[in-house]
Amino acid sequence: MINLIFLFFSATLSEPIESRVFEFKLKNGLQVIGYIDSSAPVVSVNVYYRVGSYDEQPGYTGISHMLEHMSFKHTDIYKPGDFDRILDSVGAYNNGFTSTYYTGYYEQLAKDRWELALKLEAARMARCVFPDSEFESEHQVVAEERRLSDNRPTTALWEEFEATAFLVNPQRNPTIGWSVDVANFTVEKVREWYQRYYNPANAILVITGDAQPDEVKAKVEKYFGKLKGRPVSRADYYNIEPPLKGERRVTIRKRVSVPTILIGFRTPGVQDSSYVIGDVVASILGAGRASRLYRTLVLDSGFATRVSVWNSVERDPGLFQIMVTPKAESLIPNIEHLIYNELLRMAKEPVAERELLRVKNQVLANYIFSRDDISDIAWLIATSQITAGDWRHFIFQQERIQRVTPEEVLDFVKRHINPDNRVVGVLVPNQEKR
Amino acid sequence: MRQEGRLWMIVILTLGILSPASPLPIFRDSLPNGLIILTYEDHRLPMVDIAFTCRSGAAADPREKAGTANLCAEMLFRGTRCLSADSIASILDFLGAWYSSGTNYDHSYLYLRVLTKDLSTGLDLVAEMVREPLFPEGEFTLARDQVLSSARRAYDYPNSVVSMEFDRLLFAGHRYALPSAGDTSTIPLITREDLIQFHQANFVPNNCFIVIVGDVDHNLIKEEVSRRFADWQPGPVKPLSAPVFYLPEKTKVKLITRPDMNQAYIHFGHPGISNLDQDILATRLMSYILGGPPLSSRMGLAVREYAGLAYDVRCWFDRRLLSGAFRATVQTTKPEEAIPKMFAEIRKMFESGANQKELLKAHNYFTGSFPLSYSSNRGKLDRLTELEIYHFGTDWLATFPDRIRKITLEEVNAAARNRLKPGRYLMVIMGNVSRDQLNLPDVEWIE
Repeated sequence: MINLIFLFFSATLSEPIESRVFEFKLKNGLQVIGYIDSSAPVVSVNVYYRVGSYDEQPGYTGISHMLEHMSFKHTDIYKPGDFDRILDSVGAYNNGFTSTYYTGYYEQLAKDRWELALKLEAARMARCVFPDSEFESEHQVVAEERRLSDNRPTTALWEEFEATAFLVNPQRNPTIGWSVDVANFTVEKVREWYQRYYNPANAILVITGDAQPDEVKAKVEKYFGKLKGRPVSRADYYNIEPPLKGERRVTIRKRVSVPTILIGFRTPGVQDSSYVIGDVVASILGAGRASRLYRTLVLDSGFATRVSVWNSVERDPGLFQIMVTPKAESLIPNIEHLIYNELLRMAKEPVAERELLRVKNQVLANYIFSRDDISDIAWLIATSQITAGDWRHFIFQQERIQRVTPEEVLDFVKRHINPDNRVVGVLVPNQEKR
Repeated sequence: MRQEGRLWMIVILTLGILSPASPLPIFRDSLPNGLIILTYEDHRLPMVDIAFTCRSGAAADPREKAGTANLCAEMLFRGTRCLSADSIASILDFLGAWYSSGTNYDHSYLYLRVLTKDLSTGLDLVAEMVREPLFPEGEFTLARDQVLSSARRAYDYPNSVVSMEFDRLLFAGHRYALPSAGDTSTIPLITREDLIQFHQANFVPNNCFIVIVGDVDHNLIKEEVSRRFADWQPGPVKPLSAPVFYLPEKTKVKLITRPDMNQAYIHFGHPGISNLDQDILATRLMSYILGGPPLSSRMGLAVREYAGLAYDVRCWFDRRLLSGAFRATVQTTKPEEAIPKMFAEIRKMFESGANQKELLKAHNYFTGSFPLSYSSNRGKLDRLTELEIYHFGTDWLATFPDRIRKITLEEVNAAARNRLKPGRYLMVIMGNVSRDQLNLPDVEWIE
């Protein structure tokens, strides 16, 4: 028999993250942040550029992602295929990825070889060439990648949902780009994008793992110190989106067996410190078996088999999202009704201290768990710096959550989780199933 | 917080301790009832990862009730003799723990990550869940509905569909023919009694092991595990039956026409290898050279990098206890160009093998990336689970690079000749394409 006494736990934290971090800036503007973890002889090198789908206008959607592909191809010192050939030959993990607010590249490799990653990333930053001859095959690769999204039913729902939720903010565009834009990419557009956004002053270099500050400084200076930096002004759409004036709804019909419901509410961005309360509300509603919506939709009514809730805010005002897998299409109205009732209750009654404590404990544990992998901690540092302007942002975020009160939760739900601020997306089977 | 009651007599048989060949802090012990304990100490962070593994997975399912093992694992969190599903979730959520359970063909597992201060509670829960699950009727119905919904959803994704169809063709009659979590046709047939029987037959200490990684002392772990598991009685375990493969004389193709799709999804292959076979590492190196990384393998260069025909193209050998499949996959708008290129690369590897330069690159990749795979606690947990499942030995992590470097070009090329069967594939194609467009010579079409 397990006798468990519930107490607020004060975890035995190891030393604070700050004590393991060092940072410096090169004269050309390259910001460098290091996190020391010498428990394994491994180093993770991460370069993030302040460019992503956020910076793309119609006609250019997906171009940051296209550039990410092309940046692996050819520099004035490396031939196509060299990046992967060289990194594979030392057993490095490496890849690139494009997001709304950033484009990132990483290499994880043995401690005695990590300098190689700096050499390659410095070449990517300043020495890419984009010969016409190499563009078309990669353009076709990206077009095939775009088609993969078309054939994934929930991705299709997601794209329509976000385009419905935002009229102006570039969060409405998929990172991979709209098909018509992808089809019309040219090598000139790729070159233009590279010239505009890739330089030391528009990048962050994060190095985590078994590398000491002196060594990092010397090596970074060696490879990046001579590169020329130009500050890049980035358009700011933080306040551009007009408020919703009532519910918006989109229905997608595809050849699927299982329907999906997505419900979103516009929530504040990172400049409003209350935005983290959205994470608390999401956990109360959807994290685990004891959460309110799991209990209502899965356990009590049996209308759904799965519920997920999260607050999707990276920088600009974003979307609080509820995703449900109904047992049948016919149950969708009942499910929506139950969800809205639960939200209404949350806007009227303060959450219990114990319910809040559960969430705070989960957040604190996650904060410790996130340090297990040097790639995860690199991602947290880099994305915090880019989206909030301070790498410590993810620390402040969890500290703020520890101070959230039931009254603040009530206020947040009243202000943001209401019908006039709602977007609904539904994926349902078309006539011919399977 | 801790388990109360009488003091258990601790009897531990120590099989192996930190050996000179293994400088890593890995410890393997066992209890007299056969339960193996693997510990990897890592004191960076105040947290512990625990994986309790039963060596019976989906391959041990009754064929007509595929999905039994998966549902059994799923139900471990849903009620025990002393704790309801709500109580278990409430305790774990309150601790901020990460937890999950699942199955693949070779094993079933229960996973838990807790802060070090909660280790005792975590072990109490693990012991209770694996030894005394109750499989409550209401929870069983709910879990079966959820698993069935996931199985139905798999048919909405083209990659899953072609993979499932391929398995049906290659492994016809064997449990491997259906997904490890079961299928829409078999999950509804599973009863609560099936789970109880599966648990009784397979969850016995001599068929299980526990891996613990993180901020722990292995001597204390031995005591803690023994206190909770030493009185668990061993039992007989039924051996698995190996699949009988169907290898066609010439390539057979099943075409699924889907006018709503804008790409063809292709999955083909033939019988593969067991993870226990002597030439497994040589075969993995060969497969890596042939169709490993999409940007630098032979197949990747031919189909993606030079021709721009696909985003992802690759091939691999399943890694299972019993012989699995050799598989190659691609998604493309031009299957008539991509498929011949993939066929040609496989045949070239079969006939001419790899060269020394390619082997050196593969050696370097395998030896260089292997330590990265266990730099995190979760990675350590996965590697230790793998080495125990496949009986690789506790020195596996330390000796793997040497084992790889010793594999010669002759061994890699012998693996190509012995393990590849060019021209004798089973193939599934799904998309808006016709037989004429595919223009595949010398194949037999499956109606």
